[in-house]
Amino acid sequence: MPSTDRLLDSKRNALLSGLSAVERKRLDPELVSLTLGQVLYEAGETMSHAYFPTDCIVSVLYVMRNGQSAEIAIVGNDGMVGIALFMGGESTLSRGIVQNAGHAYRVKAAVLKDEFDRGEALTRLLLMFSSAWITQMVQTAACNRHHPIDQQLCRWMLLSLDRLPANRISMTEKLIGNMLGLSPLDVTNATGELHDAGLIRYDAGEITVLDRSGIEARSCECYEVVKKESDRLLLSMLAPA
Amino acid sequence: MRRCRLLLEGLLYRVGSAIERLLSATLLYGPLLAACCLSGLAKVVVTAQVDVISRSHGGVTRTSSSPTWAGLDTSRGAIFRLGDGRKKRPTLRPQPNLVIHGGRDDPKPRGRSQRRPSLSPAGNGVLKSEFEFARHVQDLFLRYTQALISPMRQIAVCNRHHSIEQQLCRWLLLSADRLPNNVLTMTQDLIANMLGVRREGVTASAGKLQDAGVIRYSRGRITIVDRPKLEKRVCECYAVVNREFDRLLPIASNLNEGKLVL
Repeated sequence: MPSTDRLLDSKRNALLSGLSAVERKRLDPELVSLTLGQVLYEAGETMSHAYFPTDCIVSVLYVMRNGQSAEIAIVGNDGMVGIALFMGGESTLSRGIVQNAGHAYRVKAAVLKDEFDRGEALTRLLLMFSSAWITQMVQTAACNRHHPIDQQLCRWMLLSLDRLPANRISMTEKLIGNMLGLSPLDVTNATGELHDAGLIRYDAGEITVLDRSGIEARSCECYEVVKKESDRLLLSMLAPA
Repeated sequence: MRRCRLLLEGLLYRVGSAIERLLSATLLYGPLLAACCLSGLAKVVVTAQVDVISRSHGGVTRTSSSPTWAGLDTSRGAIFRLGDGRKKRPTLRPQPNLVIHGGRDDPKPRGRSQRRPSLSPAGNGVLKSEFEFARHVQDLFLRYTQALISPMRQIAVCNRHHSIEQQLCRWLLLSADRLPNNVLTMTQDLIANMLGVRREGVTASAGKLQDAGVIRYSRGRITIVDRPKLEKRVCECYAVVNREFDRLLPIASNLNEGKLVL
């Protein structure tokens, strides 16, 4: 299977790179920088823009009435934030928050909708991406139920690393807890275990992965399922129709 | 993994009836010419339903005596077959191909047309309305896909934060909403598999609900005795999923409430 790494370099977004120059021009994407913790949209809010991350990660969370939250899925340079814009609902019930600072191209909501309605490359790419994204969400649901916290953390780190240029994730334990809906103590125990096993180094709010294959071996099946499905769709969406 | 899979199948089982209703609703207006790109998981249900529909259209094709037909073949964009055998590409812009994925064993997803193209009597006006209809159906599927995201998201959250009893209430209510009466035929083993929890947890929670007079449970049949009480015990996830389906798919909620009769 050809490697998808080439398509996921930090300069580009996989969806945008699958468009022709004419189509990209019509979208008129604007490169913006996003800071850690920036909220791209709130639940129920109509989004003004869709975001195509290049080297940042956006976490999609659901926040309950009592303020507890859980991450549903993440989006990086493999996709787009704002699928509600073309699905017809305009808004969604989750919150999109920047989990790793970086850059994204943003496209005006109306422009995205028009391009989607043309039924050309972007339509196909966005539907494929939605499909892969749903797989990630479903896997999160199953993983939250069945897998121990250290495995969930491994899944989360691997999904994040695949979307980042380096093998470092800037993130405090408290933030990880908020994202994954875990108590800070649970996260501390889990990162401690991985640290002791020599798989990661955690200091000053930054996780450095020392042994990726070790993390892969430790992760539950969920990472592999998501990765396989998104690679499969990514390759097919970049192949000529 | 077996448990995870059953949990997901449970989800599909519940949403399946909604798809069926949507598709039956679309049949009211003309042939279904649509495809959709739903998740790899939802495709099973959708494919099955589309097959049913194309079979019923096969019947119509054979019995009708109308000389002119229009068919839309999703694998090749749009081609109209006219009664005298000429093929003509429409000047109207074809709608985006709606794509139903191939199966998991299919290395490359590809568009797949219905087995038989859906046919309907066509005049110029009808052709145009068929196109608009296809657009309508596509919008419907996309909205449905977005609605489908809602229970998945809620299950991810609910699995993390809510008690088994609350989850059982959610499951009972979402299931009962999709059934004609308040009786669910279901063993505790199956419920445990659906929710992905231990059977003992389900037994304890079901026992509590029964003691409180909310449900009656006997020999694989669960009867919801006091629905308002059940709604009081459920976590917020139930209402969130329902509101999202109502918002995105008013047709389906009208059907459920008997406002729209097929």
